[in-house]
Amino acid sequence: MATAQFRAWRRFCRNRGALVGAFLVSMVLAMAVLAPLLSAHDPLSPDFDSGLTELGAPVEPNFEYPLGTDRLGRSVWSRLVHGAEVSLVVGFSAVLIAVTFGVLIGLVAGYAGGMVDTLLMRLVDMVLAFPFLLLAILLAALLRESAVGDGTAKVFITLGVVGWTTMARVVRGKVLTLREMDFIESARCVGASTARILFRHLLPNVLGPIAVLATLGMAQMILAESVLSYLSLGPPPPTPSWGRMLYEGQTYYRTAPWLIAAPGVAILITVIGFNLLGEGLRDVFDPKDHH
Amino acid sequence: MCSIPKTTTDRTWKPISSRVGFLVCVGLIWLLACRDGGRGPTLKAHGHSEPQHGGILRFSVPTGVATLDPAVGYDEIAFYAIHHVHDTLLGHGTSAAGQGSQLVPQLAESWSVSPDGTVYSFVLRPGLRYSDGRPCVSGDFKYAWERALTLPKGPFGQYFRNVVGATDLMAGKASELEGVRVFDDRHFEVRLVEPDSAFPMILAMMFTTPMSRAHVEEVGSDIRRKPLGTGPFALVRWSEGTELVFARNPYYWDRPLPYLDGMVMYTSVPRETAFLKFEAGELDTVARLSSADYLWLAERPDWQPYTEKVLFMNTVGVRMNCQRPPFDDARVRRAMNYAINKQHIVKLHNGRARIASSILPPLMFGHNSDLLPYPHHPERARQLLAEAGYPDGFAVEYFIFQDGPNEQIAQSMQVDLRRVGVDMTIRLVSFPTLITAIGKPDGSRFSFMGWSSDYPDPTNFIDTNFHSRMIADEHSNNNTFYENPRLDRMIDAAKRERDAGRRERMYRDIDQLLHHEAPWVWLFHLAMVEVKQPYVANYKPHPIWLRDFRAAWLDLAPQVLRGQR
Repeated sequence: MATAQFRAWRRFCRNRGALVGAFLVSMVLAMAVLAPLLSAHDPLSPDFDSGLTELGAPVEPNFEYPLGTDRLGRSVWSRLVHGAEVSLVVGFSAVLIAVTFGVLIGLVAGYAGGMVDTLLMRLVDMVLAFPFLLLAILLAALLRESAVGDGTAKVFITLGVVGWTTMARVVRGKVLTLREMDFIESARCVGASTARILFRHLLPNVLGPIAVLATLGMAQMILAESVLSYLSLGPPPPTPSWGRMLYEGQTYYRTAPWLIAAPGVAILITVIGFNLLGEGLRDVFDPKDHH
Repeated sequence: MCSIPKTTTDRTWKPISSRVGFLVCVGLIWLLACRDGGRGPTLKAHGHSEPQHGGILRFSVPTGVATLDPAVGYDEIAFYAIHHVHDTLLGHGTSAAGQGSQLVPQLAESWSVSPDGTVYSFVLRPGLRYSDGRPCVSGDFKYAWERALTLPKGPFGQYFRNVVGATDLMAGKASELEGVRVFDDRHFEVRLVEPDSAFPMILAMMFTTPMSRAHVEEVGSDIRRKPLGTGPFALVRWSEGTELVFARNPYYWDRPLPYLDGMVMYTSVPRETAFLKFEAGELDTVARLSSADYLWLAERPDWQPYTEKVLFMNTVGVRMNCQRPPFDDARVRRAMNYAINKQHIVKLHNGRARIASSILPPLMFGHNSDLLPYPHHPERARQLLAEAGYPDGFAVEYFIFQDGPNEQIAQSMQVDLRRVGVDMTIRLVSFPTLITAIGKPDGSRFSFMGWSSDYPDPTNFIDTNFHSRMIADEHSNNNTFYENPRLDRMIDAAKRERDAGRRERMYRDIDQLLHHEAPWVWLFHLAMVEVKQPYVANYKPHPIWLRDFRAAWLDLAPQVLRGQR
């Protein structure tokens, strides 16, 4: 076992994409954790004096405001680093919900087979029949008027509830082959309960694909959060969400291009980071794909 | 070790490279766009000293046009079109001549009022014709007014309530408008229930335009898109969702107007797109610029001479429900006025606004210029809140709809109010939802509110919004639900008063009372900024109609003018 882990680690280290991904992700992570230390200005409080010109225009990047200010004279840099936290919290919580749903449904469907499997998989097909974003927008619009959670919670609940299907399919497929294997057969023979078989024997064997999908899912969820925020369906103002910053700055592409450049680049880097890391993990877990 | 079924992962995740490619392309386009330093005006004015005839003027609006039926259309966009097709008995003078809010006779040659102020007599101009050559006669006014009052859901009945027989007609108890008597094709009179100095203003509203009964019956329900009027232009074509094309009315009464051969009004052009089209020379004038475009324009000296800022008659504020706590206490309402920093809000409008002190805008008759706006004074606000029994503030939801810097203003207010202990959350809703929510007593307590004049008389601002008679359970016009018998008496007396000097003093007192009672947080009066091409002559935004191209002309070389489409 130790040698297998070591081999996997070595494969990971030799995968340049994965390393770049890991580096980018840890950068964003550091930004989110160190946000209060990195930013001199409160991301929420407007500065009508030095943050805006006489005419009320955003101030361009300068020593006090390294990435300039926005429409309300708030520091774009402060909002960017605090926005990292929003993006990661939403991404992580949404993935957590999606993984919980997906893994449970996948395990049960794959192991039970028969009618249960058919029903659950048709449910997956039904959800998949709708484009992911369309369904997310619909649900977000419905949740917006309801009393479920605060603004941020509404977003990750929406994304989690919509985004579990791929996970369920992959886990079910894996379980279908695993349940025919001898060690499951033996567990059943010695009288292990279904729950024990599901969570002690099957789950550890599907953790690899789960980790890969979860990492890739982070990228998708962060991007989706930006899209929802851009459509004003994200966390309400003044929460510094990257998508919302992009939306608020879009008309300023000529007068204050930093308003869209900053969140745009941040989203780009984060999404690329998680995608590279996820693809790297897949290569590590999938020896057949590795030459 | 596990393997992942390739099909699933491939389908969902592989397009990363194409996604990166897409983002890079977007980035490059953006960089190119940023390099564009912007063009100045491409076509200069030719320098004619006399107005030139000919040419087509092009402008755009951000939405579609709901209707061209003057008895139905009741929004700014519809007004732009209706105003140019339909003239009224009285009008407001052209803005380029600096007489924008002054009442002048249009279709009426002259008019007089009886000594008791209840009978208005009109003489029409000789030889008035519609744009198809049909004669326009006194009976057409009576027909049009009866039609406007009896249309189901027609929005204009409220303005004619004071005409004898109007309420009976609207209630279906009469078949004609008793108060209008037609003597012959050019003479008629209107009798009022009680004197009303603002009545002539109502006769300048577009719904009072004459309509030909023969035409209305001919086109039937198509009247929405087939107008026939006495205005400077006639509709040639309406391609719904794209454009409305107008040609000059050859029978227009006010020769030599209009100078233009026609106009094109492009519909559903977003503000930002409109500005880009204007820069490219595809539009002749553009108004209501977004903040970003205005700021960009402000840095371009070559456009400055062609930019016009006009304060038009409106007041914007925060309306409070005066019957529900905590706003049932005037001290709380005054505290709100002290707590919110209006200077900041004007800055968010890039200086295109003036701080308000009460309901009447500065150009309005009766505006009390001695009143000073509530200063930004958080200490005073906290003190007033404590006196009213809210030392720790309260929580409130603020309703707004998405438009211009509304959301930024709300965020700025949020910060100001937090400083005095008021926890304000922002509720972004659509415009129709907002209108429904503020029109009922148990709806929104605290919301955005703006009022633009339908006609330039204080009655339009004060009676509608603050008289207790206007309180209703649904779609209440008085949506602050402010009730004050003393104010009601003052409003009724001012409306009856016929001496202009005394009337003005009465409205100044009302303005002052409303300032002090503060059913709104008085925020600002918005200015309209319009930028035009250098060759658009004799045109300025109009304080009432906003856009009025009757007297505009294009100062272009004759060959350019002829070559224009």
